[in-house]
Amino acid sequence: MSKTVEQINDAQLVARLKQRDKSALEDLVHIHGAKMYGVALQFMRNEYDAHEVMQDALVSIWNKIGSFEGKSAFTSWIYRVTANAGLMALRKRKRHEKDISLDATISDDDDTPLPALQLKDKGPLPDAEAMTGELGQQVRAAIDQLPEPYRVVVLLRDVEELPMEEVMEATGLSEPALKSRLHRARLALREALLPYLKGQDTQKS
Amino acid sequence: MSAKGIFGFFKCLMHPAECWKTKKLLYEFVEGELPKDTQHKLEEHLGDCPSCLEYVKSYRATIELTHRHCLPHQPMPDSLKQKLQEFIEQHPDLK
Repeated sequence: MSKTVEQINDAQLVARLKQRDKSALEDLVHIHGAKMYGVALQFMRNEYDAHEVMQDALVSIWNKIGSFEGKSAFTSWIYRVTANAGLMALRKRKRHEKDISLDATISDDDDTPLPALQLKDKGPLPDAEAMTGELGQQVRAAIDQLPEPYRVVVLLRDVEELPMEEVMEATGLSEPALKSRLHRARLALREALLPYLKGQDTQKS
Repeated sequence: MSAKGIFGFFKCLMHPAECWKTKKLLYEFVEGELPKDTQHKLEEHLGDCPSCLEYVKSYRATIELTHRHCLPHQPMPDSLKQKLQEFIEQHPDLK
C-alpha cells in the first residue's frame, strides 16, 4: 500500500529524531504543533500552561523516540505523549494548589450521577451546516465543565483513545475505578448533549 | 410511533427488570465486555425496547461526539511557535 505524504514525512521525522537531529523537532512543531497544542490546551485550558505542556512533550519525544517502534502511527504516539505531559502537569498543579491527589475528593464506588452540566441555551438548534461548529463548541463546553478527575479520563480514553492499561498507568486508577469514573463522565456528557444526539450516526449501533 | 414501536413500548413496560439490567450493564455492553449469552440477551431486549435502544445509541453517540469534536481547532499562536523554537534551540535537555 502506498504511503501518504504525511506518513512519508513522519517516517523521515522519526528517522531524523533518532539520529538526534534537533531541526527535526522544529519540523515536528511545524507539522504537528497545532494538534499538539489542541491536546495541551484541552488539558490545561490556558495558553501559558499549554505552552509548558508542549515543552515537556517535546522533551519526552526527544528522550523517548528510541522506544518508538512504529507499531502505532507516529501522530498517535506524539499526541499520546502530549496527553501524558498534560496529565502530569495537572497532577503537579494539584499538588501545588491543595496538596491532594487528583483522586482524593471523589468516590468511584457509588452510582450517583454527577451534577448536571450547564450548557448555554442557544435557542433553536441550527441547521445542518451550522450544526457541526455549534456541536463542537457544545461538546467542548460540556467536557470543560466536568470535574477534573472525570475530564482527565474522558480526554485520555475517549478523546485520545489510549488503551485502558495506559490510562490506568497514567492516572494510577484501578480498572474498576477507571471504568466507574469514565461511565459516570459519559452519562453526564450524554445528559448535557442530549438535544444534539438525535440523528447522530453511530457505526456500532 | 409505528404499531411495532407501540408494541415495543408496552413490552418494555412489562419487563422493567430488563431495562434496569441494560442501564446497569451499559458500560460493559458498549465496551463488549459481557459474556456472550448476557450480551445476546441484552441485544434481544434492545430489539424489543425502543427506549433502551435509544439510550444505548445516545451513549454510543456521546462517545463518538466526544472523540470527534473535543479538540479545539484553533491555530497555535505565532508567538508560541517562536517560543518553542527558542526552547528547542536552547534547552539543555535537548542535546
